[in-house]
Amino acid sequence: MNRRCTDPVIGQLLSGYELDMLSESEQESFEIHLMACDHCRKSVEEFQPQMDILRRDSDIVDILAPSKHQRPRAETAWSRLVRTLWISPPRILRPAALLPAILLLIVAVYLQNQDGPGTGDGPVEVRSLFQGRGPETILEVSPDHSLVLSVACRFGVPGEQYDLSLKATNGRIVYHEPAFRDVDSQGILNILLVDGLDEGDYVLTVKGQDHQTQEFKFTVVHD
Amino acid sequence: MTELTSLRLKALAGDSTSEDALFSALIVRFSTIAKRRVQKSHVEDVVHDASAVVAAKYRDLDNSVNFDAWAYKVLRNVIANHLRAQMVRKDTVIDTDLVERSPQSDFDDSAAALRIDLKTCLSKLVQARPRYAKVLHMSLSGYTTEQICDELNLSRTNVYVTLCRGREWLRECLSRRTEYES
Repeated sequence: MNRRCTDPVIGQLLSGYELDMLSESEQESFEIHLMACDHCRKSVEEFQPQMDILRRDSDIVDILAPSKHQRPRAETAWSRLVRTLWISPPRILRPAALLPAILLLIVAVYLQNQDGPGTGDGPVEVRSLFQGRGPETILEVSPDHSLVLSVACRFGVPGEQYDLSLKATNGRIVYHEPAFRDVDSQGILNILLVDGLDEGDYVLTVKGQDHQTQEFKFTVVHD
Repeated sequence: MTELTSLRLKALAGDSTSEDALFSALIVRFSTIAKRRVQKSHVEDVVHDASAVVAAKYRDLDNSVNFDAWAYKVLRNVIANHLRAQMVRKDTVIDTDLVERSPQSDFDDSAAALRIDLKTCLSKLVQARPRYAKVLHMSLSGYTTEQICDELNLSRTNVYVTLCRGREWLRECLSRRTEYES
């Protein structure tokens, strides 16, 4: 017996031939090949008893049934919708799948802006406080604007927690946040005061976790 | 040049040994093909008839004609005539071949042993070659090749290649079991 098939391309039809899966022309080509190729002819002969059993014995064929090894998962309504919109033709339906995603994105951006500083509360003004500017620091702000105080604290570290306290000179606590965390990468604390500040003198006290303390004194005047 | 063509040329040159070898080889090849087309008890008759036609005509065949393909077509014609005759006969006579082909009639001990081996190997095959197992199951369940291609999203060539690789795996599994048992 030749150890190799004389025409491996047609030889690939061998198993299809045994299972009667070939078209008429493929079958004819393969049978002509069998006239010349001892390898394939003997292979067909040798496997004939097994093929006979496979054809006749439905019990054995049942071993191969998908339920015995890989039952396809039932398609859910959701997966059917995804398949319809995303995979199966017509592909023109793809934009239909994108539309809800775009709408969701727009809504998410809108909601985020709702939570952002000043949105819906009027404009925001940013004023900076630096160490050493002293009590004469005067911040001119608009009375109806929200205010962000950017405080350059000497021990400001991103991720750290600070105890902030803003007092008016009459002793009234205007703002207190014992677990302030909004520190940017430069170590600047950005304190949002949504209602702005009235005119007057203030003291901002920043306490770090290791008991470091820094005070900022400033005066607010309305422009 | 194929073995059959070579033997035919030698036979035409007067070599009687080659002529005998030619027809021995033809009978083997014809039998392989005829077994798949006609019932077992008729294979010998069909092969004999086809060989007789070849013996009568092969000397007159033009050398430019592919002898293998020509001989194959002779066999196909003989098989077609045989099947036509069978169909006419089935209209009036009880088909005793159905008894012969019944599942229980020719299962002997060796077939029973083979059946056990096949069952074991197919169980392993399901894990080792799941795609082949699926194609094989669909084919044996009556799916056409086109339906299998559509269902599994494969080309015909891919289906045939899958079948060949899986068949090789199955053949090796069966031969290992045979060696082990012996």
